[in-house]
Amino acid sequence: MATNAPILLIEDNKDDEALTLRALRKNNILNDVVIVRDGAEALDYLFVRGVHAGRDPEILPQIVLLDLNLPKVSGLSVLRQLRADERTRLLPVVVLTSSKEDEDIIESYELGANSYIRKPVEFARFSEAVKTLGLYWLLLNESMPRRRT
Amino acid sequence: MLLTFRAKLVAIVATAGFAQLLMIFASAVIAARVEKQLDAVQRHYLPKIDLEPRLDATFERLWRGFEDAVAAHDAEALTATRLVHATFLDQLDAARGAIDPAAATRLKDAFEDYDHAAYDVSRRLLGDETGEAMVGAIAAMQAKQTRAQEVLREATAFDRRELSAAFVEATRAESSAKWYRLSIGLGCLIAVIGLSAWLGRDVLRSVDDLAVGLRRFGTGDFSHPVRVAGHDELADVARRANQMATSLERLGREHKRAEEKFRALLESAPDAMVIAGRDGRIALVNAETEKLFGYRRSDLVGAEAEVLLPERLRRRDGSNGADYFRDASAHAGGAPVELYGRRQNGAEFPIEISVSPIETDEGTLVSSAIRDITERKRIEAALKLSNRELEAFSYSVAHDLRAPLRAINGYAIALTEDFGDKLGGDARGYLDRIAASAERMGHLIDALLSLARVSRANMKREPVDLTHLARATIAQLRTIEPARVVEFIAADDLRTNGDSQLLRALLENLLGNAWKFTSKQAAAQIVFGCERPDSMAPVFYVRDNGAGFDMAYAEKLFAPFQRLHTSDEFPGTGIGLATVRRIVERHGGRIWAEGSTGNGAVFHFTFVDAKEAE
Repeated sequence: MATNAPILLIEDNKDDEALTLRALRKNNILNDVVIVRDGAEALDYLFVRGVHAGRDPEILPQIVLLDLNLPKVSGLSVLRQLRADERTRLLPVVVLTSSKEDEDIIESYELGANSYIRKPVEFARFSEAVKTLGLYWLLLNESMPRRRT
Repeated sequence: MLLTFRAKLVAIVATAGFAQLLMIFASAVIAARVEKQLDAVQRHYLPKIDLEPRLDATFERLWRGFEDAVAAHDAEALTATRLVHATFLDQLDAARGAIDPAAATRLKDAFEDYDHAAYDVSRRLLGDETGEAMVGAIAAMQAKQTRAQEVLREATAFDRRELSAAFVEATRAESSAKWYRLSIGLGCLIAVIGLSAWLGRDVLRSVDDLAVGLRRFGTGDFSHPVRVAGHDELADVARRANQMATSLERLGREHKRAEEKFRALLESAPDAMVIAGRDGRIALVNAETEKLFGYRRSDLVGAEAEVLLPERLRRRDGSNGADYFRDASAHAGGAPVELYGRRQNGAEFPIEISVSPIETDEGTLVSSAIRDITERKRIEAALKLSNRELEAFSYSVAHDLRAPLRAINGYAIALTEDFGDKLGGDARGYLDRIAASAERMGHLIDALLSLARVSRANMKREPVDLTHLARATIAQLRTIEPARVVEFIAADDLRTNGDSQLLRALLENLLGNAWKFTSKQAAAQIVFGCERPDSMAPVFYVRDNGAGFDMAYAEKLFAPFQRLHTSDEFPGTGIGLATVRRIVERHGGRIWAEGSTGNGAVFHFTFVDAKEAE
């Protein structure tokens, strides 16, 4: 069981990033949050390569918050590669997107997303969803929220 | 000659028959005459031939009988002479026809005279009487005997010349009869032949005229009718032939006119028309074909229709096997097929070709209508591009436009939450308004995307339980606003065929509206039901007792962004009913609304065209 397990937030929009972090904080989810800006970097981080080649490979994120609409490598593609790799196969992935397209939702689940949060315009509803889902998956991983300084 | 052919034939036969009868009659008359001659010879002359010897012999037997009786001195023998006397008379009597009656009487008298004298002399001699008287008596008796013999010879004299003359007469009669018969026969023959020839000449001339006329008709020349002579059957045939020729000529003219019309039509067709035979060779093209493919008409007629296709599409050269011009059945149900055409200069361009068979006297032809679809293809490509752009636009709206709204809403709330105590009441109010506006714009974007999705989505028809959907929708509304008290009545078991996703959106919108517009009612009621549920076109309805609307705006209800209420009265985007109408129309149905201000509203909708269902 990994300690200090961070939350991996894959998000290219800085506002969404700030609001997501705020939602996590407001809901007392105090894990480290590793932020990557695009699909390619996300894969580098997960598979410990490229700019993230130097990081401790033992540390796996406790949960991945994945935006679908990403530069370079799309969120769905990240999800597909992540599920194809032995190391990350079982990683909990919560898809975050503003898309309401049924196809996206269906495809996400087909590719093995554990959950899906639609990013509504109303921050309150987003915060509520983060709270519900985030807590669920964090608790399911039997990991105590810890804050790394 | 106003005689029918039949009458002419009858006349010939009758003439021949009459001639035959005449001949038979003449023959009979002549034969009768000859027979009469021969009969006369037989009756008059033949008995005479042996009469004289016979009578002479009997007479001799008589006078010898007398002499013998006297010489033998026998009275009985004398009596026996009576028999001979009777025989003679019988013979004479039998020969009466052959002897002139006067001569016969004379012979009989002379015979009786002699007999009396001879019998008397014989009887006296038997009585031995002698004397001078006796000698005288014997002399008288001998004179009478001589006389009787003379008379006998006279009476039975046989005239050979007369007989010869009679035979000559008979022979001549028979000979002349032969001549008569021959001449009558010849006459009749000449008459019959002459009549036949005379009548036949008419018939032959008519037959010749008919043959010449019909031969001319056969070549298609109807300008000269068959000459009609007389009133016989052939004339009738000729008249009929002329009528037929007139009809044929008219038919020909009509046919020609129809063909001209067809050609005019062909020429004026907006498409290139190519008519090819079963052998795939072009029989006919129109001006548009020349224009479209750059060939001259004379180059195309008789050529393989496939020259109009690029080589790779030709059957001979390619392997795709489709023979577009020859086999109308190659095109499923005559539906247009999109292909490429090839101009004379080798340039290819997209075409649409519709092929249909034409049944003609010369067999099945294949008519192809070819249309240059370059422009359409360009528009289609542009449309496809713009659809892709629209798709991208929708996606962009969904994702990228919402992100800033989220930021506005999120930061406004963050400001309120984190620095609320440092702001005045007005500032907090403004921040609330900013957050609410962003939220409202988010709803608008969602509604617009939903409308776009309804128009784009692929329809999948399946049986849908509307009652179940309606109840689930209302249940959802109750969880969102548990404080509301709304009576919902749904008819059981309402079903239709349709796309379940779209029908769900339809009911969510209609029931959501009813839910929303009854919010100010103390005893809100929503009914989902159906009129004529068992008919081909059931009419469903959603009725509420809410705010209702003015019927004057009934049509405006379904237009996008049309709202009859302010957002303060009832919130909304103005897109819900537009979405509803789009869904109903995509199912081939219709929707209409009834209501009045303050008295609720009813939305009727069908999923089947009522006119089609009837």
